Amino acid sequence: MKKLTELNTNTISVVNSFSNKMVAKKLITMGVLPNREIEILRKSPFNGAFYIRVAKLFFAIRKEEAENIIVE
Amino acid sequence: MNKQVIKIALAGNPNSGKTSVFNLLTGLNQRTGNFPGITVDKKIGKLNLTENKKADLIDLPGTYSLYPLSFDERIVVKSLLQKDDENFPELIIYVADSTHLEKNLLLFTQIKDLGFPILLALNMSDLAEKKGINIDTEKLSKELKAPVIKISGRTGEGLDDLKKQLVELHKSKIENNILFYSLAEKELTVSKKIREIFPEYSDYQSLIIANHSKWFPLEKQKMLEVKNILTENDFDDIDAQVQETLKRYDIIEPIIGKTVSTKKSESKASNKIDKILTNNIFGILIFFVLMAFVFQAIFKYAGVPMDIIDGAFGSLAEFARENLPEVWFTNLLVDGIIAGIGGVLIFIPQIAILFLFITLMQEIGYLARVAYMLDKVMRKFGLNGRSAIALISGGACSIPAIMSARTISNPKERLITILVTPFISCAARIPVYAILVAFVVPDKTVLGFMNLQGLVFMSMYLLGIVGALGASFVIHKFMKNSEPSYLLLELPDYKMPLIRNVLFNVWEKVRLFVVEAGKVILVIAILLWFLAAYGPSNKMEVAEQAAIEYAETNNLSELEAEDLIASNTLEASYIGHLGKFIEPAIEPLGYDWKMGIGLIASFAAREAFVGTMATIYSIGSSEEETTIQERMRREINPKTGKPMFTMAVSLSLLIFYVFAMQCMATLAVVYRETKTWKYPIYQFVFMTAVAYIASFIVFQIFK
Repeated sequence: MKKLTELNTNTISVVNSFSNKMVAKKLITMGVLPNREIEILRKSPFNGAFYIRVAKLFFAIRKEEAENIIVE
Repeated sequence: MNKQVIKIALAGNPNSGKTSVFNLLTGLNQRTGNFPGITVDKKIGKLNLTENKKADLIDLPGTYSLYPLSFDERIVVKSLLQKDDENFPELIIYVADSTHLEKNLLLFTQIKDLGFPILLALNMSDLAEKKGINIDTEKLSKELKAPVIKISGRTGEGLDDLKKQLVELHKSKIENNILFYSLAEKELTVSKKIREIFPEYSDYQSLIIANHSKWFPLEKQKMLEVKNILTENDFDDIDAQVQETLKRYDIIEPIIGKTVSTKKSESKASNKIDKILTNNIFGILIFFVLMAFVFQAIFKYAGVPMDIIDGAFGSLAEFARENLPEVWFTNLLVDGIIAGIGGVLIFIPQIAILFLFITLMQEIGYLARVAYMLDKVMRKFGLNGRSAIALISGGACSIPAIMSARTISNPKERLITILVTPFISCAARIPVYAILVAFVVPDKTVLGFMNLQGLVFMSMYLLGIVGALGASFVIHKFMKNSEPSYLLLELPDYKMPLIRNVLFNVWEKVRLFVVEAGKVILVIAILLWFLAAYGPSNKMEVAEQAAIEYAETNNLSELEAEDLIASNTLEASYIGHLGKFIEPAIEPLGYDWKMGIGLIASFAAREAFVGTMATIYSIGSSEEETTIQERMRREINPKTGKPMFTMAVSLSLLIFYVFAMQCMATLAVVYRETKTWKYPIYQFVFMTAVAYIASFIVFQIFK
């Protein structure tokens, strides 16, 4: 179990839970659900947003937001 | 005949293709109105179901669920919950993206649980087929207990069927009492108590009220009662929303399992494209090249149609002057009304080209990538990746750009975006830039292909961007952030743009500009004509007489005499007095009272500048076809005897127009969006101060 931000780029993992409920609310509403496949595809420059894939969906997410996603 | 008008709402997720379905169903038969309370633009279209059954179709903003975070998404909750509201729908068409059905069904089940008769339109069904996604509509219809129809907003397939099903659905009026979601124990206790205050609401409707008690518009007394219920029961709204959403997915997942099958492995085309388009180096580079191309295109392609419009109105004015008697009414018509309308319509080519590009980027899915790439940079200035989209749209017109800031959920980031967007050079500044740039910059090609005027033009835009970012940085440092900020943005699959949608949007924006800005500009044109044609007591006649005598004694040529008369009478008119009144204030910037008149007119709408200058220079003089530029060259500074429009003055004017807040319509929109006059007043004072200081510095350096 670790934070999504600790995952290497292009390493597939699975969403386990969320550590902040406000972020969780927004994420699950948009389809980022526990037990779904997740991977970081790329990172934008200067420590910027992450480009992630969750199952078949793609999202742009900030590092601070990604820290709240706990993966397996 | 009993003619019925049914109220139908169109709901769905963002990127579900709702707009193309709306356009297909209503055609050009649509209008924009306001949602009550907050003035978010509401699109309503007329839809003919059968000969006797007509419907008003209301396009609700796209949202992922009934638990929204952003301002415009709240409208959906309000529209679906306020039964006495004029927009309260009888039926719902729910548009879902067939290629991502699971996520799309979340809001569907919520709306159905509110008790609405609802029809599921599986949009992009052609795209889903291509991707090997097969949906069993019959089974899905049984599972969801609602009619399901495959449609395509691209080809129009399935829309006739959809209309038929709507009529059926309206007739049947099924009592809808089986909910997807059964309320948890605490939720049930709370909602039962809320129902004692609002007997007209169901359990689930009451739960929605409980979850939105922080902002939902209720009478004060009732709101207090609801809040008491919530604290008494220790109701945590966020927890409840998370639990409900997860439970709903637990219900949706098996339904999808039973009804959707995917044959081919999904294509990764979008991801491949994004390897380049969102690449850390190439991505940014491509973005700036694209923007440069857009502005070059505006400068290059808008010229011809603009000349045509200009020429047409010139001929019309000439025709009117030759064929109508020489009375005050003809002057009003020619110098006020025709000149005013021409001055509005001349912007159409530029606005159309800019919106064409912005809409194309939006439709393809590129703007979301821009937000992803620029988020970090934007945040340094207290903005959000989404602000980039508002700022780019500001390149066309601040009004829709400021309205687009509604998608930013953080109040501070949203406010800063609203406040600084008018710094971005909008289409209305183009004519002012165009005339001044063409006046001081030679028409040369540099670096082999870049037009020098185009380059200077672009640097004006860059200055605007610097102004916007600089201002946000300052505001950011002085303002507290009370709520968390989010980016979390869906990156939709790249799609071929639907030309019909793009043209619709361009048409809508152009129409909005012509009608909204046009009204203001036309009124100003007429007012200005009046102020310039009349003066206090008989001062104008005295001035005219004096000018004629002076011309006779000094043997001036006819043209010189007419100019002298024109400028002398103008000086004696109401507007001359007004210009003179502010002259001391603008003298340090290098402007005289005539430019002062232009500035006065511009404070209502900056596009009025060119028209005003034309009016000021041509009123009373019968010269034909004198372009404003030639006239500017002939303008002499009475103090120095040299041309008035020197390099320093022209540059100072250019800079002033880059920074100054000169648009009443924008101020009005900022008021509407922030619901207080505080911010538009700040904005006006701040921007004008920046413009004054910058122009002062430029003039003092170059003079």
